[in-house]
Amino acid sequence: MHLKFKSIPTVFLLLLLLAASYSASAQKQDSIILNETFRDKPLTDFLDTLQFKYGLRVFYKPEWVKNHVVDRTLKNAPLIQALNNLLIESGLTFQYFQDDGLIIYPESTGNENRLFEAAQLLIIGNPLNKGKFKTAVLSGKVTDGQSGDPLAGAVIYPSGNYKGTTTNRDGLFSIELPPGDHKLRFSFMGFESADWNIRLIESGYEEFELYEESHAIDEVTVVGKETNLPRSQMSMVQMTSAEIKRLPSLMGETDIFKSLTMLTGVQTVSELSSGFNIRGGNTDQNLILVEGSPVFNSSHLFGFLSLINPDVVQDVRLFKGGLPARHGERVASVMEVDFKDGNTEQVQVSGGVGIINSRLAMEGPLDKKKKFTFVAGGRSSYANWILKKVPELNLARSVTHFYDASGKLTWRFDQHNRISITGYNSNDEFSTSAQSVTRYGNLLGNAQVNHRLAEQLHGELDLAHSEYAYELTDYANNNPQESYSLSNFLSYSSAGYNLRWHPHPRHKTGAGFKAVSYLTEPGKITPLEVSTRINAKVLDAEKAVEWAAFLEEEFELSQSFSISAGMRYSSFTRYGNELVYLYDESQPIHPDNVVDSIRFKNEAIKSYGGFEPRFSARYDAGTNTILKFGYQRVRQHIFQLSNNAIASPAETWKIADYHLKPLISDQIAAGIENESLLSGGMVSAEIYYKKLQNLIEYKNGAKLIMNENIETALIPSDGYSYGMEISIRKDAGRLTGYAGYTWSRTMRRTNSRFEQENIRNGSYYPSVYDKPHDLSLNATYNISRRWRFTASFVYISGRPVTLPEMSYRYQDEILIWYSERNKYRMPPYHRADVSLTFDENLRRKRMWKGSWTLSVYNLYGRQNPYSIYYRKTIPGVENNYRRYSLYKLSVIGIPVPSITYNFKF
Amino acid sequence: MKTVIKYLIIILFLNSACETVYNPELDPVDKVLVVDAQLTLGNSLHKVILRKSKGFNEPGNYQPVAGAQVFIQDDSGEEIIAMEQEAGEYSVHLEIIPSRRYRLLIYSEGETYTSEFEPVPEVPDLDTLYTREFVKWTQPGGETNTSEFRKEPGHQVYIDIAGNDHQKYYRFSARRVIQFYVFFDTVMFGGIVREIKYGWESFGPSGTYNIAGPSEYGSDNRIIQHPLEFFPYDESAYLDSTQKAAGWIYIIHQYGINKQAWLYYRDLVSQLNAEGKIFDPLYVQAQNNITCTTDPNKLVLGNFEVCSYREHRYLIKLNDHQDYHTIREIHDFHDIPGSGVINFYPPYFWEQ
Repeated sequence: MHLKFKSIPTVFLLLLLLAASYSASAQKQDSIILNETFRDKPLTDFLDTLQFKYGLRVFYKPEWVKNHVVDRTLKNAPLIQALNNLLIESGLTFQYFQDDGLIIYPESTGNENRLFEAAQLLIIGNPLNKGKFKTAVLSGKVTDGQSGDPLAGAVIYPSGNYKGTTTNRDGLFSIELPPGDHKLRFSFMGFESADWNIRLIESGYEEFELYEESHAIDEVTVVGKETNLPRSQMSMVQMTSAEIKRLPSLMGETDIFKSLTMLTGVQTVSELSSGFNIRGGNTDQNLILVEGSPVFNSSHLFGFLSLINPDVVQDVRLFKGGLPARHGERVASVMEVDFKDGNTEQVQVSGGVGIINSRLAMEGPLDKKKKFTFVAGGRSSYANWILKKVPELNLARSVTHFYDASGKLTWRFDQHNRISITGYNSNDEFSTSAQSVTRYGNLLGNAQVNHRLAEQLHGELDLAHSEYAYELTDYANNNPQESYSLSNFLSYSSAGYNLRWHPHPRHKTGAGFKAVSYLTEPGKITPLEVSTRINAKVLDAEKAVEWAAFLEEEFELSQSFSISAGMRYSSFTRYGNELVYLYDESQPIHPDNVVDSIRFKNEAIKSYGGFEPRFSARYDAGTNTILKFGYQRVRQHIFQLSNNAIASPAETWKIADYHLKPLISDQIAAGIENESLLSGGMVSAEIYYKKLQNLIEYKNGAKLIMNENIETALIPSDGYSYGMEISIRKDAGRLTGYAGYTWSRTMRRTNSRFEQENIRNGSYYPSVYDKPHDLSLNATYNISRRWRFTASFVYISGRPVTLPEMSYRYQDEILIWYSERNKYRMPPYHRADVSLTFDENLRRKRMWKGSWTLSVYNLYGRQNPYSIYYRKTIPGVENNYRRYSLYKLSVIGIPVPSITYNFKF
Repeated sequence: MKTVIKYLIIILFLNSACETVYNPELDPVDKVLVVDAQLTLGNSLHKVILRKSKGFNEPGNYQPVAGAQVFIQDDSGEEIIAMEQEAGEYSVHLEIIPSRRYRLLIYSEGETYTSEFEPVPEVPDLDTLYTREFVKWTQPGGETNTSEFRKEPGHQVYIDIAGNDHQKYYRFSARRVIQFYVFFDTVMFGGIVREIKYGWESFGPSGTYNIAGPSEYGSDNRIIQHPLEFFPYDESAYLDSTQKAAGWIYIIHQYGINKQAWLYYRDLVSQLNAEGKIFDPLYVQAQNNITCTTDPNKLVLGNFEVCSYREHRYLIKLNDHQDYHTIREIHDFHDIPGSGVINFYPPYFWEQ
C-alpha cells in the first residue's frame, strides 16, 4: 500500500492531521511484539511483514525506502522500539494513525537538532509500561557492523554511577539499570566507540553494531578482557583484530604468534623458532588451549607459521600472569584460542592463496532454526622453495610439507545453554638430504557444555583430549640393515567442570575441578627392514594422573577497590609398571652409580601435590588511574627435553617422576594504568618478579633420546626472572598505535650437590631467553577513510650465547674451547616493517569489495642473527685466513616486499 | 553465499637468508696446556707434542711448550722419559706391549699432568671395501659462497668390519693420490711423435675426523656400510685441462682406538659439524682423559691416545659413461712421493 504524494509539504500537513489522532487511537500498534530476523533484507521486506503478518496498514513512498536495508534480530521487541531502532539509521521517521496505521516518511531537514537527538534515542520496552518497573535488564548483542560477527570483550559503560559490563564470547551482555534515560558507551579495541541514548522502560533486548576504525576486513581478534574475568585481572596482553591485520606480515602471512611478540613480555627467538617465550619462560611453560585442548607443538614449518588457522579463530586471550584459579598446569602463560561457532544466518566460504600455503574455511547453519552451526577449515603448504633459499646445505636440500584441519559443531539450545564439539588435526613432515624424514602431528578433540543452572549460576563441562606424535625415520646412509624409525608419543585426556555464580553485582564466585590423565611413550626404535641389525626397543610407557580443584572469589569492596582471591590445589601421581633406579647419594647421578632399584607393578610410584594461591587487587586511584597487584603460584608436571637453544619439533615430552620434581613458579606483579596521560590512549606499566624451582638443565653432551635413565642426563636447577613492562596505546584519532618496552632479566643456576656437575660453579647465569631490552613500536596513520599507512619497529637485545673463547691445535685440526655457559650475547635483533593499505569500499551493499596492501618486511635489510656456529671454511681475507671461522646465520636478511590483494563477494 | 579469496603476490624474494663471518669481541683468556700424544702399536718412535692454546681471535701460531718433562708409564710400573727433539716436540722410543696399559705424565711450569691408563687396542682390519654410486651436494664456490649448490655424481666408498668382542672403535685417515696422463708431442727420428707424461698428485682426507663405532641401536658390534671417501666422476677439480685422469690410489689409514678416544673424537666431530643446524644445538665441550693433579681446577686440553694401526690401499677408477668401474685392492705398499711427473714411463707405484 503506497501513498502517492505530490509534494513534501503536503505530506507534512497530512501527517500533522494524522498525528493528532495518534494518542487517542494508537492501540493495536502498542500491542504488537515482534520476533523477527532480517539479514541484509530490503526495508520493504520489514514493512511488508508488518503489513501482512501483523495486520498494519503501512504507507510510504517507494523511493524513500528503496535504498535501505534491515540487518537486525528482533526479540520480543515492541513495535515502537523496533521502528525507532530500525529507522534511525535510514534518515526516516514514522507516525501511527488510527489504530492500525503506520506512515513512514523522511525526517525533516528543518529541525536537525531534534532529529539528531531522536536518531540517537533507542527505546527499550513498551511505552505503555512506563513507570511500572523499578529495575530493568538491558540484554543485547554487540556485533561487528561490517561482518555481523559477535564482538567478545566489548565494553559497555553507562553514564552515571553505574557499573559497566562486557560481552561474552558470543557478543552477548546484560546490564541491570533503573528505568529511564541512559547514555551507554560501547567500545571495543580497534573499533570506533559509539554512544547510544537509551530510554529504558522495561527489560528488553537490542543489538548494537560497532565499526572498525578503518573498516578493515575482519581478522582474528586478540582481546584483553572477557566477562568471566575479575576487574582486577592483570598481566593480560591484548591486541585487536585491526592491529593484527595492520602489522606487516611475513611474506603476506598474518600469524597470531608473530603478532603477539610485538607485545610486552612476549618474545620469540627468531623468525624460525617454535613457540614463544613469556617473561623469560621456556616454550614448554606455555599452555596453549585450542578450545580447551592443550597443544604440545604449536608450530608449522619449524616455526614459520603457528598451528592456528586464523580463518576459524574467534578470539585469543593470553595470560602472562594473573592466572585465574581455573587455570594451571604451566608456569609461564596460558593462551586460550576459541574457534568461531559458525555463522547463524548463512553459509560462508573463505580462503586464501598464499605463497607458502593455501587455506579454505567454511561456516554456517546446519538447520533451519539456525541453532546448529558449524565451522571447518584447513591449510596445506608448499614451502620447499623457501628452504632452497637458505644458504645451508642441509636446509637447502630439505623438503617440507604440512597440513592442518579443524572444525567445530555448536548446538545452541538458547542464549545460555549450548554444546560444542571441536576437532583439530595437523601433520608436518620434513626431510634433509634424503637420509632422514621427520614427521610430527597434533590431534585434538574437545566437547564443551555450557548451561545455566539458575538465574545467576552457570556451569561448564569441558572434556578434552590431545595427542602429539613424533617420528624420525633414519635411512642410515641408505643402509637398509641399519635403517630405523625413532618415535615418541604423548596423550593427554582431561575432564573438568566449572561453576560460575554471580549472587550479587559486586560478588562473583567460581569453583571447579579438573582431572588429567597423561600417557607418554618416551621412545621406540623400530627397524625399517625385516633383515636388520637394529634391535627393536621400546622404553616403558609413562603414566600419570593429575587433578586439581579450585575456588575463586571476586569482591568489589567499594566503587574503587576490588579484589579477587583464588586457591587451587593440584595433585599429581605417577603410576604404572616401572623399574626405578636408586643412586649412590655420595656420587653424582650416573648409570655407574646405581646402588639399587625398585620395581613398581601397576601402583603409585611418586606423588606430588600442593596449593596454588592466586590473588589480585585493583584500586581506582582517581584521575583515570588504576593500580593493580597480583600474586600467583603455579605447578607444572610435564616438561620438554631439549638439547637445542631454539625449541624444535623434535623435542620429547617428559612427565615428572620419582627423581624429577614438578616445576614450581611464584610470580608477584604490580601495575598501573592511566587513561588521562595520553589523549585518546592508555599508558600502563607492570613490574614482576618470578621465582622458579626444579628447572631442568642438561649435563654436557646429555643423551635425551632413548635414555632409560634420563635423570642421569639432568642437573637440578632453579632460576628467577624480573622485569618492567611499559606500554602506551592510542586508539583514537587519525594516528593510532602501540608502543611497548620491556626491561627484564632471566637467570638460571644449577644446584647439584656435586661441584663438578654445576655450570659456572653453581652461580647464576643468564638463561638463553634473557633479553634485557625489548622495544616494540607500531603506528598507523589513517590518511583517509580508505588509505592508511602502518609502520612498526622492534628492537630486542641479543640472546645469550656460548662462544668459542680459545682455539688449540690437535692432530692437525684447529679445535675450540667454549666459554662459560651463555657468557656472551648475539648482536641485537631489530627490524622495521611498513605497509600501505587501500581499504575496501565502505558501502555495505556493494557485492565486490577489494583492498590492496603493499608491505615491506625488514625494511632496511637487517641481517638479524638466528644462530652462530663454528665450522670449517676456506681461508680468506674475511676470516683472517683461518681454516675455521665463526658464522652468523640470518634467516631473513634482506627487505621482503609483498603486495596483497584481498577481495570478497 | 559469500566467498572470500585472498591473493598474495610476491614482487621480490631472492636469497633472503644469508650467512656471514662473525668476529665477536671476546674476553682475554689465559693460555692453557694442549697435549697431542699418540702411542701406536707397531711403531717404535712416538711423539708427544705440547703447545699452548690461544685466544680465539688471537693471531699467530700456537706457542710450543718447551722444557717440560714427559714420561710414558705402563701399568707394570715401567717409566720411560721422552726427549725433547725440538721446542714442544718430545719423542720416546718404546715398543708397545699389547697386554699392558699406558699413561702419560707431564711436569711443566710447576704443574703435574697425568692421563688415565689406556689399554692397547687390537690391530684393526677391514672385511669389505666397496663403492656405490652416489650424488653428493657441494658448494662449488667454497663453503663461504652460498650462492650455488651443485650435485656431483660419483662413488661413495664404504667399508664393513666384522663384529669383534675386543675391538669396536676405529678412526680413519686417508691419502688420495690421483694418477694422470699428459700427452705431448716430441720430435723423434725426424718426426713428431705423441708421447705421454705420467703424473700424480696427493690430497688429504675430506671432512673432519672419520670415526666408526657400533651402531647405537645395533644388535651386534659389526660396522656395516661405514662411509669413507667420495670419488667424483668428474676429476677436473683436481686436474688442469692438459691432464687426463688415470685413477686414484686410495691409501686408508685405519686406527683401532679405545672407547674413551672414540668419545673424545665424537665430541670434536660434534663441535666441527655444528654448522648451520636449523635448531642451533647447544655446544659440546670435548671431554679428554688428562687432568692437572696439582690443581684440579686447571684446564688442560688435548688427549692421550693409545692406538693400533693398519694400512689399506685400493685402486679406484670410475667411468661415468660405462657401467664398469675398477675397485681393486693394492698389495704393494710403495712409498709414493707427494706429487710428480715422469716422462715416457710410468713410476714404479703406478697402477693400471
